[in-house]
Amino acid sequence: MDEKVLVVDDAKFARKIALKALQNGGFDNVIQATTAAEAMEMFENENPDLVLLDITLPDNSDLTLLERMMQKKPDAKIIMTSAIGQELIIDDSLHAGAKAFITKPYGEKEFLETIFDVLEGRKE
Amino acid sequence: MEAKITGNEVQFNSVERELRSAESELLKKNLILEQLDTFLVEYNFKTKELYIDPVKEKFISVPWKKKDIIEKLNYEELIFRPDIFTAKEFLDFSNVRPESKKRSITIRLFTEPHKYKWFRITQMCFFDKEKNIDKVVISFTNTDEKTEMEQSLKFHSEKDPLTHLPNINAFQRKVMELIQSNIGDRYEMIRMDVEGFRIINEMFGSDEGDKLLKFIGVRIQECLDEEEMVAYCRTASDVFLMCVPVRLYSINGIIEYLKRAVAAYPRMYEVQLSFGVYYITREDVEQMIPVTRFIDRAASAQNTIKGNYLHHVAYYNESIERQEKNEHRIISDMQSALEEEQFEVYLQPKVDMNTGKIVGSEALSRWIHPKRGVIMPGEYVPIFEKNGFIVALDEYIIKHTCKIIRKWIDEKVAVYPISVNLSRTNLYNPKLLSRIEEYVSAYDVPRDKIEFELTESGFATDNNHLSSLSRNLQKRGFKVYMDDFGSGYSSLNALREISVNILKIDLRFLPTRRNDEKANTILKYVVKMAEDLDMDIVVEGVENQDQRDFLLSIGCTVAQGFYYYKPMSVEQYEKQITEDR
Repeated sequence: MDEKVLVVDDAKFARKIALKALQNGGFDNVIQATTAAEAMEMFENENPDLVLLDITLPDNSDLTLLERMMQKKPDAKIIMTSAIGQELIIDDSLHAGAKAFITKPYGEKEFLETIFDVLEGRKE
Repeated sequence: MEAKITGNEVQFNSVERELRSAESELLKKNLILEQLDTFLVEYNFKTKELYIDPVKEKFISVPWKKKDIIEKLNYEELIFRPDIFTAKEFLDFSNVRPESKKRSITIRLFTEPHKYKWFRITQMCFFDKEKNIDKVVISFTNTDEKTEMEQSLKFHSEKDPLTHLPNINAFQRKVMELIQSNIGDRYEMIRMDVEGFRIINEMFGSDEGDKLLKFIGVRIQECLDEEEMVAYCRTASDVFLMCVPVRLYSINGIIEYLKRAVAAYPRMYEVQLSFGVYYITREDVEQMIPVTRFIDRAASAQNTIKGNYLHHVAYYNESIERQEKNEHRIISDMQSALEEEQFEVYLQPKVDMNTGKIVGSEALSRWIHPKRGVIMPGEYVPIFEKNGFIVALDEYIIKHTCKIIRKWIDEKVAVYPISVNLSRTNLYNPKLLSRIEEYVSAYDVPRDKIEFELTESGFATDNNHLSSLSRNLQKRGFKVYMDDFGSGYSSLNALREISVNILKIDLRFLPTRRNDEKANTILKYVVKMAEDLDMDIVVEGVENQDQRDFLLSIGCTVAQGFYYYKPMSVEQYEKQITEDR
């Protein structure tokens, strides 16, 4: 598939799961970042069509990175991922511009459906 | 020559045309197929006619009536994206050979916008005598339920549905594989749970509890990221197991990681993780010790720190091993010990502190083991309480106490009341009261000569039972003690709820010292309160003259403790009574 997806997560295991699901969803063009700094750089230089962004990173543990990305590119398609499924965090993420929120652990089907919904503009 | 089909050749007919095709030889089959989750499409390469099963709409959302089934097909609208490539290849008839006339794929088709289902698509090509493709019949069978069920079965047979971690069976298989295929590596089995998880569930709801467990599950996976080299699972509720090679992971590293992770979890309550660790030795592996044993040992280690808020990790060691072996020995010997009457009643006298004379006693037990000698109750009572055998031992002690009292009466020895402890397990023994009646009648024991000691409980439900047992005993003419007053969580409440005749204060819980004004004041008022509530007081654990003097000064007269007497055999007690007189 043509879309470029940026996966941002400091945990190797989480990246592996996301990558596998993306692969099964037909996404071949996936780039990865493990820190907020790296993620921002890739976001600016690589121009991904979709970002999967984990809230907790070594150099960012709130919504700052999401907000910076949204400032840079207000139409960015960003899906937040987190093992913390508290409603407040989900609401804040969506309020800050995330198109969706995926709570870990996730099933591949719901993960891909959310991604396609966002890519095809069904989640705004 | 093989048929080459291009998109232009594939023409789709109007609804009318489709209906006319009802003459198709497939019609009859379709009427049957209509009842199944299958529909058919037939294309004749010679006549360019297409037959589409009229019941198709219920299967797939795509507007099939458009004249473009293959070439102009809107794949993105029909097929879930990851499967488009497979589908395109499948619908390319250019390379179909007679020998490979039947092919199948399972792909996801949209049945309604954005919702897909699994379909098994089978294509059967028919060839003419010249081996040119004549027609193709494509069946679409909805296998969604089956595929989903297969996937779900596979998932549930291997995973914990809440955390998506492997389940205990998958965990045990993997541990076995790991330790046997990496003989050179040493592994550690870790059992972890959340202290007071039940309270989190009760106070914040099981949804919140589940979220926490999912969070912990994810963090365990992230921490132990050498997935091939480790095993982990959630067994039940808040219990997680991990098996890790010491070469790659240190216990402290894991604990620190998980503690940090939990500290970052937004919550309104304290989350404490507790860990029990067992180091799997080379001998364990060589002797093919089952994985469950490693788990049990990690659990035994963890049990040693249960409820301890200072220590969060415990390692299985020789002392726990000895304790377990001992426990095992006790359990295997207990039944025969009871049958062979190896338990002996010991009596600890209660004394009038004014006169120093015996006024009663408490029945205790000693296990006179034929090989091990005297075993103290501290060694076996907690085990019996855990496995319920204490009920049988309590009945045994009641029976033997009745026997002793009968003997004294018959021998005209002075008979002072003996109190017998009733374990909390007995609260749920429906036969207890009838057993007591049975022994008291059998030995014709006066009801003022046998008394019963009950212990309050931190649990309200237990206290309801305790209250009713106490009332029933009193109704039958027996005196009831509240034992260990001051040790529980709700002593005062228990006192309000449970009617007793005698309050037994253990100085371990209300220690008195010459200069400890606070403790002495508390004790003074407890004694006063008991008096006002018309209850007698017995103080146990009296060990010195100072305590005796103080107790007498605040109005306590009956005491029990090493200052006077240690527990003794019945013979010694009888001798003591004779000397006393």
